[in-house]
Amino acid sequence: MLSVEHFPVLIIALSMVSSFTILVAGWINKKACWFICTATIFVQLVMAIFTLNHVVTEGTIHYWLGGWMPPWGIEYLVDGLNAYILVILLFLGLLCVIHSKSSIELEVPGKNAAFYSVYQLFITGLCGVIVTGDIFNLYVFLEILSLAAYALVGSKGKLALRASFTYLVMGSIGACFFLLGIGFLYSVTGSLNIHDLSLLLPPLYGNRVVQAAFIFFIIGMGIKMAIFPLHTWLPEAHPAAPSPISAMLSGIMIMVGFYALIRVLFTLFPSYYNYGLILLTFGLLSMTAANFLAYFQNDLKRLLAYSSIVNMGIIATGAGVAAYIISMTAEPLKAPPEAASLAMTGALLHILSHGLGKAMVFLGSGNIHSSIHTRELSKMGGIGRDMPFTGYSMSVGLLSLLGLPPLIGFWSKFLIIMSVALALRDVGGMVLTATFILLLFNVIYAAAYYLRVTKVLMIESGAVRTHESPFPMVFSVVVFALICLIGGLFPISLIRLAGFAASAILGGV
Amino acid sequence: MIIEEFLAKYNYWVAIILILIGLYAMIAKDNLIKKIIGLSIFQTAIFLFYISLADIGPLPRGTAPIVSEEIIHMGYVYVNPLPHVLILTAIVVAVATTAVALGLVIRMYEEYGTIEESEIIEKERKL
Repeated sequence: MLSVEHFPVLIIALSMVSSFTILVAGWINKKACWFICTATIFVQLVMAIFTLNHVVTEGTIHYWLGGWMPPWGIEYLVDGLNAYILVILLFLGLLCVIHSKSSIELEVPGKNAAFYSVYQLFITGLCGVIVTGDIFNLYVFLEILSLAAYALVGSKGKLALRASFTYLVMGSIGACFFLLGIGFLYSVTGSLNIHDLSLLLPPLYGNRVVQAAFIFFIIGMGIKMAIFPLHTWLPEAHPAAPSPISAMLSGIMIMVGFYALIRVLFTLFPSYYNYGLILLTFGLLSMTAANFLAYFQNDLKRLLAYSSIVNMGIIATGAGVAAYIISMTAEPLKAPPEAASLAMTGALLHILSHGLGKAMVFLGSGNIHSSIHTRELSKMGGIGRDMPFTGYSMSVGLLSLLGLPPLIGFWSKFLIIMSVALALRDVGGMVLTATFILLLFNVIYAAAYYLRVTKVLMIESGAVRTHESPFPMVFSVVVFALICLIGGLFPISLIRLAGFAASAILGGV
Repeated sequence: MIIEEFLAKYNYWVAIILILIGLYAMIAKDNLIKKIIGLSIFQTAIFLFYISLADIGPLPRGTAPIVSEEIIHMGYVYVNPLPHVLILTAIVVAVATTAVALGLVIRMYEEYGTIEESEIIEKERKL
């Protein structure tokens, strides 16, 4: 039996091999592609769960590729944060590929082998970014993931092509800024390993090169995670993609940009660089601006794309609050204050709950599109009555994104707001007061358009009479809804897991 | 003194100017192929920056880091080979990005009959 230590590399190697296998198998038998893809992602998910179990019980996994020790070799470092996001990622990937079994024939007909092959490369890139502990390796996997995403977004043709081209140009600028940042850090330290850099950089914090690298990392990853001024590719790219790809893009790909950002910021840079304040400001700006823009949309997928920017802002605000609290109550070598851990836990739990909710609603919109061939809210009135599974599951998803109590979305928003309240009591100040007020305002304002979509789906009338979608599409949506419900009713183990992941990233501060 | 330092590090100045030219081309040009050329200039400038990092110094100047059995005892000074290897990887990534971008432009030309972005937006609005 293979030792669990090898699983991080196996996940990525298996995915790469499977991607080429799907391409070859597609020449022989078109129907085999979906089976190979689903089987691969299922095996990866099982390996990821074993990895998470190993990390929780026995500690972080250090894997040195080829036996070469860092800083000369590439190291795969899987700690609590990595394993947590890896499991969420592969779970979402599995359910989206199950959904795609029926929806691909309607949205991207005849391109089975190419689609699943590129999708498997997309999963490779996502897993690779999460698992690696070497910063240049992170850039390479980020580019693998981005290229697959550009191809997948453009796969529908017509309107999707220009959206994909815009996304390509902006995404490449972002990744190249990240590469510049890596170059600056390499030029002053000579190392590319993230853990090694965290040991080599502290004497160099006053150096202008390190400060420039800091700015480049924030802007580069800011483009990838669609923070407010840099978000303009998202409302065009996410609606134009096929539904399972929209679900994966909104659900997990922008989170992977956030992961890369916090891995670099929290490990390599000191808190007096004020990255907490920067993340907080841009998070609040994202939330507020995208909330106002989302309300007036008529296209369901475009509304959900703006909602993704809002939720990304909430996650960035949570991480920013954690960093801000740590910078305000600077006591090195001690455990981070309780409010900071709570804020980070809330942000990481929000990755889970937003991923589940947003993926489910995008898949549901794919169901609706396959039945009545439109994405406009004005033509969708009351379709939840004709498509009961999709309708009720989408309502559960929208209410979870809204943050209604027994669902899982409530707990993540609650944790972030509670942490800001705790910080107001401990630290105080104008910044945290403004954060608190804006967070509450945005969470309540978002209710306007989520409830509007729920009302259109379930209560109004006026849509064409239609029937429920094929089984695989319904299966994915219902499974997401059940997990939202069960996760919301019994959240303690999930919160504890998110707390473990938060302590992995904050503990080294 | 300052002019000498400025001239000694001319690689970095050229890299910065090329980055800015590439960014300008990506943002301001209307033709899609010009945007891709801008992207290529931008990425090449970053590679130039990296390779400039590999230089050893004014004296002794390093030579190409290729070692064989016959000359290893001669005690040459080699430049740092790691940035060269990193840039090989990054060049492959840039080539793949350019390939995907050109594929998208070909599809757009088949679809809309033009590669000026403003005309494509006009045609999309009429669709």
